[in-house]
Amino acid sequence: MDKIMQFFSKQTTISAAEADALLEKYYEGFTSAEEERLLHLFLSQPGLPERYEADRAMMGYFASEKQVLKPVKRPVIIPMIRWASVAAALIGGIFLVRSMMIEKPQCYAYVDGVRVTDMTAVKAEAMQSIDAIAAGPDEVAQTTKQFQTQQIVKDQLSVFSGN
Amino acid sequence: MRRSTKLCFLLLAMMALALPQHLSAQKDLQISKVFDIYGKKRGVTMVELSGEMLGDYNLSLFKSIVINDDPAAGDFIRKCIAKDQEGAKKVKQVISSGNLSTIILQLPRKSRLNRLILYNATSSGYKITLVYLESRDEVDDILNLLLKKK
Repeated sequence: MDKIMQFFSKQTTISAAEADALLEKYYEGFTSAEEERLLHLFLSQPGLPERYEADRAMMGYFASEKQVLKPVKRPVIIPMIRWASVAAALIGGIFLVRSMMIEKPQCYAYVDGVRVTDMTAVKAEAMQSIDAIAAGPDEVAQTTKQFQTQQIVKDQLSVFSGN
Repeated sequence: MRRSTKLCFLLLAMMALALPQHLSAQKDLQISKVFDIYGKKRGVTMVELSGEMLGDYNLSLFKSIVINDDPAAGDFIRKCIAKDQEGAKKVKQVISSGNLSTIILQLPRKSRLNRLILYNATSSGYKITLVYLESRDEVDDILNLLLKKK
């Protein structure tokens, strides 16, 4: 019988006796991952004696349960959490930088090197500088006035009027 | 490229996009040096107003500097304006006795902002006024509002 069992487990690294020992160890909960792998290989062979049916069912059940758990839960939930945390960090970082970089309203003047922050005084200084620019068109008007035809004719005729 | 490196690049790119771009709108101009160099000197008045302080005028930034009796500063300002004039539209220019008396420059828009440089010097050159403006309004509207006769 042992010879037959040896034949069945030829492709595995364990014999039927070793498998029995490992099964006993397995039900007691002391097997390592490697030992469980060997057991699984042994039990997955076709044509095993009936006494291993219960063990096959047990090992097969756990194996299929593992297969179900792997593809469904891990790849979906964990990456989602990871990407959500990355996105949250990005958005948080952007808001932080924006809040740090946004310019605060300014209202100040320096008069002879002295800082003035009184809003009325600052606005008065601003208006004065604008007034200086606005005075420009008057200069243009004065210049063009000199070249008005009427004036030129009058100036030229004044030579003959004897005044 | 590793995933962490890609993430770093993505983060940096998004940070750069998030930066308020108008922060540097005036800093790329030569006239910004005028404010930096002469702003806190004696005989000079410098004003900066921005944000809600300019609510009535629809401007986002107003900077002006008035310099009295400093011919060297006048020369420096004119050089800066000549440099900033490249690529700008001349709205108005007045030359009196061979000297630049008034100039209004419309600079290329930056971050949807219209930018203007206004310069005036008295005929004696004793008093020089330089103004820099930023606004979302059209240039004509800004000038009509600010320079209309009182």
